[in-house]
Amino acid sequence: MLTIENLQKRFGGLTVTDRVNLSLVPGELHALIGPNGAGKTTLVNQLAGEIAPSAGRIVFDGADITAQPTWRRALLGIGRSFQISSVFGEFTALQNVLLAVQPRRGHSFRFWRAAESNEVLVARARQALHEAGLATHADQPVARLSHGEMRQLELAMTLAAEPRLLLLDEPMAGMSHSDAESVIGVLRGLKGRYTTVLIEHDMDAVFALADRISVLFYGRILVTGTVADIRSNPVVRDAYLGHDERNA
Amino acid sequence: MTLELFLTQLLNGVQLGMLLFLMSAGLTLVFGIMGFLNLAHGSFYMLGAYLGVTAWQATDSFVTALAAGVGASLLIGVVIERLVLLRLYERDHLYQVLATLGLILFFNDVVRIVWGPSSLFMTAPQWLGGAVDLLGLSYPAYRLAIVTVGAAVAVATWWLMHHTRVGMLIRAGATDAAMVSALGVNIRRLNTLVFGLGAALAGLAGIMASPILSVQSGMGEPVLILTLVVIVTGGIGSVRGAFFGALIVGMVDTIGRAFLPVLLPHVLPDATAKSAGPTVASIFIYLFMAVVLAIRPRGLFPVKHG
Amino acid sequence: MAEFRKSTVAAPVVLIALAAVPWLAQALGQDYYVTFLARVLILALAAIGLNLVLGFGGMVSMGHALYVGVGVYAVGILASNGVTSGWVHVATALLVAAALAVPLGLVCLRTSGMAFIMITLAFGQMAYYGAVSLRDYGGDDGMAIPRRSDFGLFSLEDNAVLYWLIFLALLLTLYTMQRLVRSPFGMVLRGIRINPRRMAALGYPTLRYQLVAYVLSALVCALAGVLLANLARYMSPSYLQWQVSGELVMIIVLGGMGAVIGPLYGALALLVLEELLVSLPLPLPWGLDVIVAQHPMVVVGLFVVAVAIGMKGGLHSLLTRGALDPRPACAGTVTSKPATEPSEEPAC
Repeated sequence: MLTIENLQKRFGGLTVTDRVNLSLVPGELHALIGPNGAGKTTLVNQLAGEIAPSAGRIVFDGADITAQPTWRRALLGIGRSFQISSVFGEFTALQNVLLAVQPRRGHSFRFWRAAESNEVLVARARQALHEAGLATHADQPVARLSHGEMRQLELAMTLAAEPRLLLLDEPMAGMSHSDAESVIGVLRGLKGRYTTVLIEHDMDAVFALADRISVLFYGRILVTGTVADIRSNPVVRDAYLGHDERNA
Repeated sequence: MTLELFLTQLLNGVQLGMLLFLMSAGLTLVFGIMGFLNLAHGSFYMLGAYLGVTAWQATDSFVTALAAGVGASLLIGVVIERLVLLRLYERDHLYQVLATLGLILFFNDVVRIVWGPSSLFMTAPQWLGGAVDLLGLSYPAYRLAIVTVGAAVAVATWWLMHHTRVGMLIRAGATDAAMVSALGVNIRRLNTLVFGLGAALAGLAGIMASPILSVQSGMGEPVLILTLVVIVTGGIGSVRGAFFGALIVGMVDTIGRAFLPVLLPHVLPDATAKSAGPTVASIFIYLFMAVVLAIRPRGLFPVKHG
Repeated sequence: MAEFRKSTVAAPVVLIALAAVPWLAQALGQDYYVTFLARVLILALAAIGLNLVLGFGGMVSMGHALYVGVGVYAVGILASNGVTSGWVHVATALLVAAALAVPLGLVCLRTSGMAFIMITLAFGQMAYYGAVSLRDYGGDDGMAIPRRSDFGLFSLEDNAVLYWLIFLALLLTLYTMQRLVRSPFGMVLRGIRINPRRMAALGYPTLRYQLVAYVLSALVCALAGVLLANLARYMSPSYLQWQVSGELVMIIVLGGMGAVIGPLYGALALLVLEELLVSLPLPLPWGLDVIVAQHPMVVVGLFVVAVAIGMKGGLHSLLTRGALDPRPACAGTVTSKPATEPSEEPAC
């Protein structure tokens, strides 16, 4: 589904992504872990199309998408959620999800009839809200939702766009333990239906969710393996997990 | 076009650059550190000129005029900052634009009320009158004095920024304002200091420019536009960018205005060149800025944010 | 779906009052008010156009006077050369404005924040100096326009008729904008203002939407320019100065960026206040009444500062407060400041 071939990113003299090779198995939840500054977010930003790599290729569904801008990748099926809840505060929950649903149904250069008058799209949006457990909040301005509800909305929007590959960048950052638990539950439910790349620092979540883990260290993939592989790998423990006991 | 003429215009460009540096240093710091877009900066320039010239008319002393101009704009700057601008730091930039545009309207009319609609005049002091011989080139002493003052301020600013604690805090504030505040520094006082310093420098520019430019209501706005060009070209928040940006903008604008009308007839048919000449000369600096922004959107000497 | 309909009567009242102006003026025997308010409406019209990109799109353009100038000079140049049809005037103005807005928009939209402001300002200045160079059309001083546009169906020579044409243009634009900001296009544009990165990640080619909005706003400004040329019967580079662009921005922020009708309130407040200060005898001591009458901007300037400090959401929020949970209008973010303030629904 997604293949990263020899990806490199240099900023001046600094190599942030160093010959990364990775092939994702369809339906898997693949976690990216590594110490701060290892280049995880930069790698995901290259996958999303926000940063152009210095060298290498990204192949999605057999097509080379390395030169494609972010929005085209989104239409091809790559969905992205952001570190900080980036929902649209001044809109209602329904309007938020409607924005997520609109692109897949063609262009939005419609100037006259209200966005909510499109019954097909509205129905799809309401369904997505229902699945996220936010149906009762549909017509509320999002700014009034709790932080946890906003996170749910964010995820609902990402899923409403009908992606096939999900890029999740620290979805549990700054969450309380109980909130994180529910997100873990949600993510577990996504496994199999979507292929997911997950960046997380919360090791409990990673070990609970990941099918495979890649350890990133100074821009390079140290090792890729199953949870058991990674846990028992001495190189990884020394390089990362050892230091991370304090940080996790 | 003789070499002498070219060199004279080059020096004029440097002189304009120095005036622009005095204006931009404060503006770029205020925008870079406090995130505040102060369009009323041109008003400090104007008030420094008006109050300085008034002092000169009363005492016939150039030095008193300088002191009055700088002191007045410093005082007014601090008062305005504390009374008005303080409440707008956390607001969206557009409200800052609105408020400062309102201040421009206010000050331009205040000046007309107090001093009337006609321009004020001031002549350069006798000891700066006449011309100086620079390696065979005869150049007005007063303009050279502006260059000297500008250079002195540049050195003093550099020393302040790199060799004092206050300067270090200002530089830190330019890269990460939140961090400086978190470190327990009295950020309000630092802001007022930076703002006051900027206003004082603008006032200095105003009074220094008075003998060679006309002192009238609204004189601040054309200078403000050029100053904005400088800080965007040089890099917002960067004093180094303000210095080199100001010099570049000053020279590009002056040389463009002086020589494009002369050069164009060589490239274009006469009639077109005659009508296009002044236009191209006026807009040349904007074209320059557009090119710089196209290549380096963050300016030529951007501040590297931590 | 619940709508945030503010129970405001302000808008209809204001609009009805404006519609009645020519009759009121006739009753008072003061034709001057017709031309004065006509000017206010034209300014409001241009500002409403600019508000599409500024308030709703988050793009702070300090160069839209350029497009007003296109409208003015389209009428002026055509009329001076014997072309008097108003339809030709309007069509030419709109076409030229669009032809300029597309390339200029593409260039400007490569930047954002402060750079965007400066580059729009720069293009505005270039247009200004370009107009100054038009020696055949008055150059720096400008030139009178021989006669008003001829639309065939009615004569604009009567100020009242022109006033109602301007008012009609304003009404139609208000209505169109109101529909536009709720349409799919409008929602996308507003989303781009709030979080362009997120919109791209959702699959929107953001530049295209911003460009279309930019061109639409240019068209409205050009229309305002056509009407201005007719009202003033003069074409002048002064209509292209950056101060005019600045005045448009002021009017928008003053009136309320989050509302389609906001700029109308801003234009009315600003210009009517100035007019009142100048013409009404004020009971002030110490000769202050004379000073204020001759220098109204002292008061106007302070008023603007007070509104900027005191009212989040401009004058519009003042008029509609109390109807629902009054929240500050979400301002178009310029540089790095995140959009943290929630906003009102756009209401007319």
